[in-house]
Amino acid sequence: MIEAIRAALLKDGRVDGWKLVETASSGVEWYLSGHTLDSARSVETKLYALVVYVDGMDAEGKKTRGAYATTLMPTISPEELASTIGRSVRAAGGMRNPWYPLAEPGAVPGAQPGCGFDGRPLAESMDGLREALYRPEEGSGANINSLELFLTRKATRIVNSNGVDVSWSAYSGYVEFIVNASAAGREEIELFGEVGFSEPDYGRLSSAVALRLRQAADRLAAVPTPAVDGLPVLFREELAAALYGYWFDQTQAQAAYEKTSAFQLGESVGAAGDGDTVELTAIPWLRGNPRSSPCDADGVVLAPVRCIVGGTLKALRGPVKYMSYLGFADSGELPLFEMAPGLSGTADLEARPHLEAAAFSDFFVDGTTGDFGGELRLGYLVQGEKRQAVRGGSITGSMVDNRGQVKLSRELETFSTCRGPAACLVPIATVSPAE
Amino acid sequence: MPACEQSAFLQSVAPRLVDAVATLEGSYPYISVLATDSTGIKYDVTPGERRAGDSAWCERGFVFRAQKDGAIVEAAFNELPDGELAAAVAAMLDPLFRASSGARRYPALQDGPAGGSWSGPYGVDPFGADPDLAMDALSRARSAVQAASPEIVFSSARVESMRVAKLFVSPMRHLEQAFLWSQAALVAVGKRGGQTRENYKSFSGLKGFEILGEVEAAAPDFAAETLELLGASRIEPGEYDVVMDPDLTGTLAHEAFGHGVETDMFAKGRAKAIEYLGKKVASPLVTMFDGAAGVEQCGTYLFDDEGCLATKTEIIKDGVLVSGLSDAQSALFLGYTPTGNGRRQAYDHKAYARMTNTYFQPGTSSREELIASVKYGWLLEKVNSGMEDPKNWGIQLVVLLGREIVDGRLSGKVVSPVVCSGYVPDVLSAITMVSRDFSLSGSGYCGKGYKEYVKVSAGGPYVKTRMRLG
Repeated sequence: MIEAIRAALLKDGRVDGWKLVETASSGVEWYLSGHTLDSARSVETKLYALVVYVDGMDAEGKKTRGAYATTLMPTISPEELASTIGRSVRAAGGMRNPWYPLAEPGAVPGAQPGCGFDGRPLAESMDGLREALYRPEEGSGANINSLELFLTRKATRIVNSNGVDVSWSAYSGYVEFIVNASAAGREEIELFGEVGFSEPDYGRLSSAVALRLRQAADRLAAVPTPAVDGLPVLFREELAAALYGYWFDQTQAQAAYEKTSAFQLGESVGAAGDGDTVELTAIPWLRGNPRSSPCDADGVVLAPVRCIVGGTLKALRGPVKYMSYLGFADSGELPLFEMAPGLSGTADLEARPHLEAAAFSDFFVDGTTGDFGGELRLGYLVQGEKRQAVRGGSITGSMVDNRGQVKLSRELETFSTCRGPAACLVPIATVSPAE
Repeated sequence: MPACEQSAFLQSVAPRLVDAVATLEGSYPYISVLATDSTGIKYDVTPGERRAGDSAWCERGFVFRAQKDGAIVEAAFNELPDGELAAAVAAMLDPLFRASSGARRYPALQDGPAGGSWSGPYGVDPFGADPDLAMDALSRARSAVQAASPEIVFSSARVESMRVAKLFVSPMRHLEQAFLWSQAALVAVGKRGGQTRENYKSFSGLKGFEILGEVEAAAPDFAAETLELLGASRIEPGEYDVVMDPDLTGTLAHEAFGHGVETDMFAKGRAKAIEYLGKKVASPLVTMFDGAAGVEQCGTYLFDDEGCLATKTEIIKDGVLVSGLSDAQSALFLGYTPTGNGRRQAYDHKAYARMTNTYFQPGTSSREELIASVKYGWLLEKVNSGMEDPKNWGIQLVVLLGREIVDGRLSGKVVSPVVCSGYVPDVLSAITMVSRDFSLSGSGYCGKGYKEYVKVSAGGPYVKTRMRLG
């Protein structure tokens, strides 16, 4: 198919550059209700993501570039292929964007580490995963209501008209689960959980379910969130990662080019205050993380970039186009990040009275405005030795208002987007009580 | 108005699919195939560049569903084998049945006779339109926004059109449909002092590139609104009287009693609503519908992704919960009649019970009467997101803009963002006024939890109720 597309591009003759990403996926899906398999599915797909580039000249005689991105299906006929390329060239040919290069052949992606899913059919891995996910249920005081388990093997190859030709394969696993807790005289409650994985790391999967089961039991005993004016809010786990992910958003080259970033290069992301100094490195790979990739979508082989150093925005990351527009060397679009630990232990952060946020209906952090918030499904009001589970109401705030004041834990954990502090304490937030 | 042409690709492969289904019928008590061939384009104009490409909703593939010994499995793929299709499909289905030895046994899936074809209407063909002229229109709209003030540091305009084409074949059914939806948006980012605010305005419908005219016409008011947002403060948390705009009303309907009555949630014991069928859950002023039939917006179709014909379902009638929304599998489990709400993100995703066009029925008051009735409260506009809690009936709505109402008038003070929360029956029972306006917006997507996105619309009138804001 790649050769057929290459030949069709050559035959069209109007294309000044092209990029093609072939993705072949093979997956198995199990849907469980309680402990019973409700239905099973298999998925086999191939996709070809083609970008054609057409160059031109603007009114001032400067070289320009237009691009059109199209997805070609394996069932496309030769006539459809020619027509699609023609339509793409027509659209790209009218654009007069500043010119930018395509990725150049360069370093060869490093050998991928072996994976525990290798060497056997995907379906044979499903029982082991299911067993690990249900293991924590017994004696937890809560139960798994339903669970959806996905395991996909994906092979990717990227080629372009500059001679880039890189390929790799990886596993992508995902589980979504709902847990319930109930007791006589109390309404049954539920909590949502999800984990992405690329390794059969049974311990990590069991821990994620165990945490939600514990939280479900706590939510059952929770009281409505009271008025807690002025208390700082402690965020843990993925919520903490989502919150300090705001700084990762500020390292995007596209946002800098479009002038929507909150910070300029060379500017401090912090301010006077007793918060921890932000140290952030964009990285391509974390073991067991399905977002890990040796290359970005342009075919640029990825390496870590220290973006925020000593609290100052020092470097950006992004696709070839935006890095070129800004006059920087290719970094590639790095998918993950590492945050350096803070100075305080989690125990120190917990020592002062605070509200701990454990689960929201749908927690949001706006990478542009810095606003964050959500309806609280489970929290803990911690005052001295007393730790009371609470539910309902909402928490809202702004990373801008908290600039220079966010405290990060010394302990690190691995999350879906990063490896970073296990908890962070945000001093300025508005808590709307439940009643 | 022209009508969408059926997919030539689907028509060309239909005989092979019909043959395969006829062959497999001998091996499986139930067999069907959904084939899709949906194409789309999107254009995006920003200050620094123009971007163009296919829509992310493009798909072309097949999903076979089979039942044997009560177990239900599916195989999805997008390459057609050179040899016999039926044999290749059986080779995918049989391992799934072997893995399903301990799986739930369902009653027999029904396959009553049905046939039909629907070609949706549109105005200006997006695929035949000159891309330069389309992007020029977007460019004029976004430039007009940014020219309004140096405080608007970024603005963009984008449009996306999808031609959805599907074919469903089973031993008793042969259904085909092709229709076109479009959506567009203006986005702006403003900065004042240390604060950054982002604004949007969306447009949508079963239409083509005639939507571009709506985008250009809206630019001046949108720019003024963006500057207004830059003066927004944070709301003092508390419980208030609120007037919701139709977008927010629709999202309230969608999150409160849309997800909560998806019957696959009933089947899993995840929805409290099953205990309230036939009981009062809202003010008598509330009547609520969902349906791919009955209105024309982005959630409209002839048949769902399980080959069931679209219907219009009355979910709440005069405050009483009367019906759920069913996919075929959960309807089978519960003994319900499917309502034509079995939908997939794409052929390679599972079908779930999903909403289509969800809305409150209009009332008799005017918007101005609703505002005038509020002593102190907020007019809430521009919904950002919502999240359901069908088990425990909590609700979260995030709103971009709140306008203060004092003594029945808008004071001019605005707040942003606002998180609205509450207990669903309390919020719906507190509805005391419903306006006679009616509009639907289909520019959003609906997820099941945090995945499985499908195109829907939601809306209705302005409503007055009470909610906790923070």
